[in-house]
Amino acid sequence: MSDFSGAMDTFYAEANDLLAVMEEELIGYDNSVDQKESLNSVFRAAHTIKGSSGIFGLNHIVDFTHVVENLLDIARDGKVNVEHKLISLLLKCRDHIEILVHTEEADFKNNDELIKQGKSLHQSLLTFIDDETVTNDVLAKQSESPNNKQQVKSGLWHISIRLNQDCLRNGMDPVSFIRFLSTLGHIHKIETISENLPDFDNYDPESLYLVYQLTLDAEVSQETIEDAFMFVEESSDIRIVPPNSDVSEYLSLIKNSPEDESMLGQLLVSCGAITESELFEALSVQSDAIENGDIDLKLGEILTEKNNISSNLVDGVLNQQKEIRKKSNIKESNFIRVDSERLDLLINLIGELVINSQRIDLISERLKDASLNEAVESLENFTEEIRDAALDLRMVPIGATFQRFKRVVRDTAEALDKDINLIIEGAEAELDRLMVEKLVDPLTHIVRNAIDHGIESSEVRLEKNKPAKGILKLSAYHEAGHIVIEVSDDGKGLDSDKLIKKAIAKGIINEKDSISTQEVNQLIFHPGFSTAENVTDLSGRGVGMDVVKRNVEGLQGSIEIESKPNKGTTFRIRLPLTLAIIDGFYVESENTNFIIPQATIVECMDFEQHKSIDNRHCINLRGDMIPFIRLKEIFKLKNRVKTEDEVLLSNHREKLVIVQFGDNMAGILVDELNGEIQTVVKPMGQIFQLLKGIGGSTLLGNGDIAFILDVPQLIEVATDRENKQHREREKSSER
Amino acid sequence: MYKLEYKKLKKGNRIKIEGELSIYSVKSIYEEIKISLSYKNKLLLDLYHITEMDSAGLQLILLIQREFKKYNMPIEIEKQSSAVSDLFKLFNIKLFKENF
Amino acid sequence: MSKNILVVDDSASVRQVVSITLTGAGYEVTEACDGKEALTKLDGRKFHLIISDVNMPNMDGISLVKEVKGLAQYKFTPIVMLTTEGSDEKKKQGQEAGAKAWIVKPFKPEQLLKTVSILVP
Repeated sequence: MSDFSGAMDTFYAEANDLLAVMEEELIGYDNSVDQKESLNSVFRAAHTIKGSSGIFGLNHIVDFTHVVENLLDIARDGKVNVEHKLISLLLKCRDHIEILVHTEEADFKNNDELIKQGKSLHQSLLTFIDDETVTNDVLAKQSESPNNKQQVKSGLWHISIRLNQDCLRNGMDPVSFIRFLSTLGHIHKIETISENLPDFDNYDPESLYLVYQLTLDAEVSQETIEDAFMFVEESSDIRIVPPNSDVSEYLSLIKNSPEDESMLGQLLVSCGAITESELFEALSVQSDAIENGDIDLKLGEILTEKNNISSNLVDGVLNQQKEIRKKSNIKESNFIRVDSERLDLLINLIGELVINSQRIDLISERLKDASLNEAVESLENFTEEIRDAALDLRMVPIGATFQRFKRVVRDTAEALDKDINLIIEGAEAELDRLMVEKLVDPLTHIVRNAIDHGIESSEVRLEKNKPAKGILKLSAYHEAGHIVIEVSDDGKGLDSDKLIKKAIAKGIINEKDSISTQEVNQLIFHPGFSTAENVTDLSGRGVGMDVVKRNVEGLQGSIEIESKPNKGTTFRIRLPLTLAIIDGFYVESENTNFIIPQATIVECMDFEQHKSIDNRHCINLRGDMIPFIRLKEIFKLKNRVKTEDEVLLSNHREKLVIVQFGDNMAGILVDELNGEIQTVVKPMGQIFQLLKGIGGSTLLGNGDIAFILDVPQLIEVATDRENKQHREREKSSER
Repeated sequence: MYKLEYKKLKKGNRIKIEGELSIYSVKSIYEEIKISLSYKNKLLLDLYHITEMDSAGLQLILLIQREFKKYNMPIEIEKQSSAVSDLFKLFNIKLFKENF
Repeated sequence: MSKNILVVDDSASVRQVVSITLTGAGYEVTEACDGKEALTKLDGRKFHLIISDVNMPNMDGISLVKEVKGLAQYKFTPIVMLTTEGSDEKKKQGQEAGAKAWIVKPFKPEQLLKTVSILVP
């Protein structure tokens, strides 16, 4: 038929979204202000997954989800006690659905373990229901109603159509039905009977008075013909007599036509269904056999069999719907789904556009044509706006990621038998989708670590006069072109003494080294460092914190720890909002081009040697000691033979760019300040990734390459070197 | 949606319906015809400009036909559009002339 | 003249399946993700059929049917509800509101096409 592969992609994306909703609502259920609505959301998600799976013929998903949906349905009607254990089970069911969604039906059939798992989950669900009839409801499969009308018969079908007067008002037009019938075969004969039309003055133009008698020459089943009338009102009277039926059935048809009996009779005679004499007999003799020959087929009756619902149940449903409407007003009004690859392509192309517009800018400056300059300037402005708008497309709120941690926290806390309250703040803070994906692993590790090693068990907490329930807080906020993500706990904090002992034992530091608290805390990021006496399987064998740090740095970010004994620990991750395009400041050192990310720059100034302290790599900036580095030293840039121009300028002072990242500041010494520039970040090749202090490269408008400085790393280099030198000086002065 | 024109001519009265003769317009068309309809003269129907017709529309034409038959006054369809003739054909409605 | 059909469902994949099926059969399909959006789409063009899910955020199918039936230019337009088996009460509410046809989810594309072709051939 049609190609549904695109629709399948939509189905998978949608199923994932719905599974996320289920998870979020189930995990939040215990603390939900409106538990009824939470349950409703879970139900709706299961309902939609089942519905769309069925459309795609994914029966393994339908079969399993069906029972879950039914249980949720009766649960939201209050017929099941929704206890903590049930929520846990529903979470497991949700996970099972997730597996099923990602399993091909053919593979499912061969996967005995998966089938067994599904069955046992179904069994567990049933234990929550006391009432056996309810149990049967839940298990009820949508059984195909048994039908003996499916047999295909060939020949002349007689159909008598007497519709409800209101059918036109309901959008049901006999024109449609008869057109549909004509597609099944050939309409051999049709009579439109207008006998029931009232007087002109009593006529209601919107009511239907016409009656139709027709014979259809077709090779179909009775069911197919009935389908044409499946939506007509119950008071309609549709009679279908299959080909070659017993004469009594035709006669009964005639008897039951209140209108023009002879007309129908003639119709039937004319097509050979009955003979003249049979007709005569039928019209004159009231035969019992005919009266009892029950071939009536009132479809309307089928339609309304199950309408005995109590009114308060209906009211309940209506109220629930009001709440749904109220709650989801914000959520899903006007979204379209875009393949993320297409978005990335767009952003790359815009990157090229930015570069090219800068190239044009250079050329136009050279040409010094006023109107050209003006046009180019406005082009540049628009390019900038397009860039921002495009980048904005890739921005997603971090909230969805935080939601995932509800599950992580719940599972981890349960496994370690700890009681933890998760608080989420700043869920609306946005960052690049690409960053979000890479952030999940490190965050997971920090969160698990906090629960495992940070927060104490309830007994210990009570002994310390702390509330039994520990608090884990995930928060996010924007700060100077960066997003800051914090994971804090109110646990026991880092034990400095233990850290130092361990670090010495592992040979990471020397016994004599005097290190600051900040440095002590940073020790846990050292490869192979683990403080827990009992290594649990959850946070692993100390593999992790160093990996976390590497991951964060890979995102051009930084991580720091703040910890107070018995007050708790905070991990603070600072990340740029995007990695794709940055506003940079273009500088030169030894004719090599560098870009310093604009967001990190505090100020620029002429470097005055005398302000540096004791020949150290440190200056006094309004009372603050700030370490600095020379780009040409760090990157070992060669001194070239100076050109005449440069000789002229040789007494030219170096420039100092003060940068800040987090609470740390440093100075970068360069030769030239060339001004602000937009840069499209190209990641560095493998070889250069080892090069500390360079985050990527970019093409300038004139075609030259510039290196983008990794300011956090440079600050670290500067600070480390200064600290080291400081310690060495102290040592030598001790001697 | 629709336009109705009622004209007294020498050869009879003519009703010209343009546009939609459907459930959405049939009520107002009926009310308009009701005011002006006269059974004292022959009726000519110009259905050439009907773009859409459904059962409600067809039924109104059949009603008018039936009323004229009752008064023994001739009625004739002068012209009809394909939207009209398609429906007549589907329902096996004979042209009015044949009924006289 | 091809017939215009408005499809209202909060599930994008359901909308897509409906859309592909009906477009393939020569219908013109417009999509809306809930009742509210559906109402905004009704202006400006004439739809011959509306297919609507029952359970939807913002404005559910039943409310949509009520609204549509109150609009002069749509009060006689057929509406098909997408229901689920077992949701008889919803079906009844829909019918009372004026949606006389329905398709039970999950449905096969052929079933959908058949239903639509009965109502707007």
